[in-house]
Amino acid sequence: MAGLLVEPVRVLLADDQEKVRSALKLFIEQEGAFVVVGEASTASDLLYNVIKTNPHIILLDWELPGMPDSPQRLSPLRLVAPDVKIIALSGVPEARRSALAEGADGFVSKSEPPENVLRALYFAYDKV
Amino acid sequence: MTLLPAELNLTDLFAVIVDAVVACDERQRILLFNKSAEQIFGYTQDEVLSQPLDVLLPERFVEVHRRHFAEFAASPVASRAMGERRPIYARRKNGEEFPAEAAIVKLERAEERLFIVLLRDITQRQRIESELRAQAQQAAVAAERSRLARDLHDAVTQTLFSVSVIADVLPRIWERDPEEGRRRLKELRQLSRGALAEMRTLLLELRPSALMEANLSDLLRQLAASVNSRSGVEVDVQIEGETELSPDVKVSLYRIAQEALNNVAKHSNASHAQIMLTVRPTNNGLAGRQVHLVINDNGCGFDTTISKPTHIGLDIMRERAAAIGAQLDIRSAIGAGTTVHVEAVL
Repeated sequence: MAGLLVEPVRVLLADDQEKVRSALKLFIEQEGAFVVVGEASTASDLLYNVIKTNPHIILLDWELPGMPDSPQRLSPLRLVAPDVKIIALSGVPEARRSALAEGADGFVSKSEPPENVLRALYFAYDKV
Repeated sequence: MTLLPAELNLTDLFAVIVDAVVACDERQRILLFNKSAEQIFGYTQDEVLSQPLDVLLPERFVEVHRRHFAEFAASPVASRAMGERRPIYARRKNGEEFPAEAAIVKLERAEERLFIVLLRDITQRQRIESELRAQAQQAAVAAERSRLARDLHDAVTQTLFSVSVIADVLPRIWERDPEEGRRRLKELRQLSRGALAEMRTLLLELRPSALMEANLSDLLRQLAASVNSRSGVEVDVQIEGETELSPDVKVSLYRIAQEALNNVAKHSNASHAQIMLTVRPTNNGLAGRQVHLVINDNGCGFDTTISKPTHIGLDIMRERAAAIGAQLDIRSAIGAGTTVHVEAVL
């Protein structure tokens, strides 16, 4: 596991709603272990920021506008960042199965308690 | 051309027809009653021969049927569909009524006239039709429900998720920086009010009759708060005059504002929008009131000469305006925002 003295894990937030990104940024930076290196509100925004900011982990709204339909949802992203860890966030709890099947490294429904987001981040962080 | 064999018995022919075939004379005495008629009505031919046609009808229709029959008998018309616009009803031996389609044909030979009635029991067909209608209705309800579920996910879930995330870290933030803590608490308050507005707006979709009961200015304020919470677009509301309006005007104006703000949130990329509702007496001195609703935004606008399929909302607004006799005017240009004007004299 990476020690706490090394540089914080770089996280990219992708969600179409500003208030969600703002709340998540506040929430995960509070931990000290993570730093939000970029925010994206659309699929093309996401690709741009992935290339530009080189994150370790992407917290990805599974319903982000402009993404291809399942099961190709992650294909463009994997093209530019094959190794980035992806944690899918969704308002639809039923999306878990397809998100994990399509290669997301974690899944958190927006109706779960927020600490599950941290848990998923730490789980992915272990693999960074 | 083949001639029909002279011995062909028409009774045999009628016996195999699926429709009931009933022949009668001018006095409506039954002369022929085929196998299908026996099955449909439950009488045997022997039971009804020489009986009046009336035995096959619900009693309440006997009078009017006689009149129609007499008219048809006296007319030069040779055949006619009965009950052209709606199904007629017939009566079985056990008294049960059933819906039917029927046609009547007149045969004239010298002084004598005979009538043949062809009748089809459509009980089954009507049952299937009504099942299909019910299925279509259920499908529409299901589609409506999944749309509402999606709206709940898109709107209220996002806001409440943000609320719960901020609330989770707030104690630690407060310890470290009370000023930032207070700022975040204010944000929480705004978010939760927004969630409430979003939810009340969605509840209106579940119970549209509530639209008619509420005051239009309250509805517009709630709509503005809901759109703001959902999309981040700031929406100002200005109301002037007495906004107690008739239910259909209220609902139409609300739907137009809703559609206009949907477009603002979805397509305009605007940061700011405005709803202005003005109700004042007409200035021509006549009784009545003039209602003016304006929705504008500072977004990217669109070319009004190109009607895109995504602008289906514009058609909805036009229909709503036409329904209350209002003038709808949409002005927009690329880069110059969009203004929707609705004007009606009540």
